[in-house]
Amino acid sequence: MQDRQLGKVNTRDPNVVMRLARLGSFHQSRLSFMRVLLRRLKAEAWTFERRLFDIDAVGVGAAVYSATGPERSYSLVAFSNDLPPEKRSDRVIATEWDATFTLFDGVPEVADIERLSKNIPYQESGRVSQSELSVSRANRSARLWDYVVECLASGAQPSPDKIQDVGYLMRTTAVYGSGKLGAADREWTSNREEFLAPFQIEMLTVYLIRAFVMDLVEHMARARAPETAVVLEPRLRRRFGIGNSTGLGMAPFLINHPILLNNWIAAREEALARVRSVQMADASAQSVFRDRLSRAQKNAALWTTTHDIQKQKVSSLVSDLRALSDHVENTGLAGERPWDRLWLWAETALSIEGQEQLVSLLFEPYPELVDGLSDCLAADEVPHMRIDGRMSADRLSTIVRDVYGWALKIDWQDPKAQARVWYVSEEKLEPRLGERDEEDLNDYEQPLGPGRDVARMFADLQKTDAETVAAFLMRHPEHRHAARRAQIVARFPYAEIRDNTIDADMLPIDLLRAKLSYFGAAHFDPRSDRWVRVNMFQNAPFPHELAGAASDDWTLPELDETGR
Amino acid sequence: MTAVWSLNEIQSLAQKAARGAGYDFGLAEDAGQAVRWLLARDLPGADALLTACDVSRRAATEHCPLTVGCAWSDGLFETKDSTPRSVASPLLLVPFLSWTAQRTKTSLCVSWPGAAFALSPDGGVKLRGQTVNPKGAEVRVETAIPEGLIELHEGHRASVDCAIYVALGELAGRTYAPPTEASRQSGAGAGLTDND
Repeated sequence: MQDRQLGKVNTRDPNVVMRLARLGSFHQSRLSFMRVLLRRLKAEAWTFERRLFDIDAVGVGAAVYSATGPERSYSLVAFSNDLPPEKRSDRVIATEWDATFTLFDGVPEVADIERLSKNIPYQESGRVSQSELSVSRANRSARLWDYVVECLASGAQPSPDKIQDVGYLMRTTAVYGSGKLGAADREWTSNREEFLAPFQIEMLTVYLIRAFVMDLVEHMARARAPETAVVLEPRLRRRFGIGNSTGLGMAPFLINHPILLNNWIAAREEALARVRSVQMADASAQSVFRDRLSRAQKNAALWTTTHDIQKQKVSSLVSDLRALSDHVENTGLAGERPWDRLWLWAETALSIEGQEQLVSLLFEPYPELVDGLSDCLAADEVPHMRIDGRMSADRLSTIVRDVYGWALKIDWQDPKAQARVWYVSEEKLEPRLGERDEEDLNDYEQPLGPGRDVARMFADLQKTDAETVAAFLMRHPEHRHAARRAQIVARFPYAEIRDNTIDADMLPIDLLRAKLSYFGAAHFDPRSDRWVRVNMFQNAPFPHELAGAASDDWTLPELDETGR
Repeated sequence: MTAVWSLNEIQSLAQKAARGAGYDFGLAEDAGQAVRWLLARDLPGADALLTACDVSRRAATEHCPLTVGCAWSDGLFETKDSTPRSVASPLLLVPFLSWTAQRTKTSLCVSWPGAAFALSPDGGVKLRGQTVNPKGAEVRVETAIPEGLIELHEGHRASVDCAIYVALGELAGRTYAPPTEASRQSGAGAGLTDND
């Protein structure tokens, strides 16, 4: 890996990257938060301990799993339930779950567990304290849970194909952090080294949930048939991830956190530019790339979905990866700037889905170029929330023309352009998406259509005689939100999604997938245009296996002896 | 009776309450940040916001602490030695003036009869006096910092009187759309089997 610095390739244009269709084609990568977490846990030799597992034969009880790093311990406190099937729902409107969890800051005393047992199982109806960092719940997979318990109880291993069909034994339906339900604010822990990258608390919670769930299924098999029960064979065991159902609640996040979004995208684009700038790919880099490409092909082949749009995308991905593999075999990876040449070919030859998969694959051979960028993913948004009122109104207009040119071209009088309304329902306090024509929702509309809002501001900027932004906003306080946003976006090139988020054809699943890909989720399986199911930590080493596992090489499935 | 909340909960509640009371989104965002700032320093920001949201007091924007506060932090006013200004619920002005002090790298003193706050460019806050949350007052902003003020420390939790919390919650509730059959059906996952 020599001479990488000669003439660096530019990062991609935000007008190309920040489109919904492209964001909705992102894949997990070395910068994904799960991978950042497991790299740290391994590098710092964190230790794990099951401190309590007091669960009866039908699965009711409590358990505590602690993780200890160089400076601090964190404990997953789990409450397990025996839920009748008719009460099991993934929707946020559910009131009972198979298991509920919190990540405790430290190691809980008996009194803490007692207090938590009166709150965590009730989720939104309970309260937690600053000692709790997250609150979460999960449901068993009706498709797989009983089957696996039955197999293990009878002394048999479950069928790999059946495991693959579902991929998890439980799926979380919410993982709350950042002060929700009285938990510690993000600011309380954000100076801790282990939580500098985004969503590390939530990822650690899910990682420990996965360990608990696997212990629980083996425990229940043993309880059912102590004489014959076996545990899962370790390689098979790793094939279970934790499912996650995510709905509209997550969709506004990327719009509401423009600086965070910028930092996520900017780190990824910088990593891509760095790899494309590599002068020569050495044998080891070529070999890692070829291995990951084969495994990505296997991963795509295993990706099942019943959603029509996603089926089409997976099918494009499969043929893209075949074309990519053929191209690499035919042209090789020798010569100057092999990755840049490969990328430029991909831009013309592959669908967006395949292009974005290639972005992730290009990172794999280069941990030393990519992994350090995970330090740039976090954002302190507070200092950027102040409006610079001394900016001239003309300058604000120029920013709008530069960054929101796409929005100024939209005919906002066309009902299709404003067909959707983002609002929050009184019933469950959840973000929802309504049809403007069909429901009387305008009074409740959330500011989640930045293109339209900025275009409205621009129209008034054209007419104003105010010289400064401060004077303009005194006359037009209704544009304060849009002005703040435009000023932020002017400083952070990837902060704004450059697409109409209230258009009739907008797909919320694109927003969900973008975010979930940064989490590190795989096998996005939309259940409608506004609800997606994914798998988290599938194939990852368990806590007790982490020290002996290969470094950060778990996300793509392993090939079997035949190379498939 | 008071209860303890996370600062995120309070910021979110305050932002929604301000919006529910009729403020534009941008101002409501500033309201959320201001109330969070005050409660992190154990000042009664939630009470102050409730006063400001009182419709009768919102009639004249020149007396509205959120409008005046935004104008100040935006840089519309000269920071130095301005003439006294009559402002409702003036406690809400204090965070905006702290942000102004930080932006202009100038120490500022905001005072009214019975209370004075010194705001330093590094974000520090000092207080003298007991009348921290009057319904309204003649407010002065000066660059001369008086002696004998006591430093306020920043914390991570918010204590709010439950009645105030409930009242803000009612205002916040105005931002939520009443349920309809259509909204139930358009929720994520509605009408689909998810039990697998």
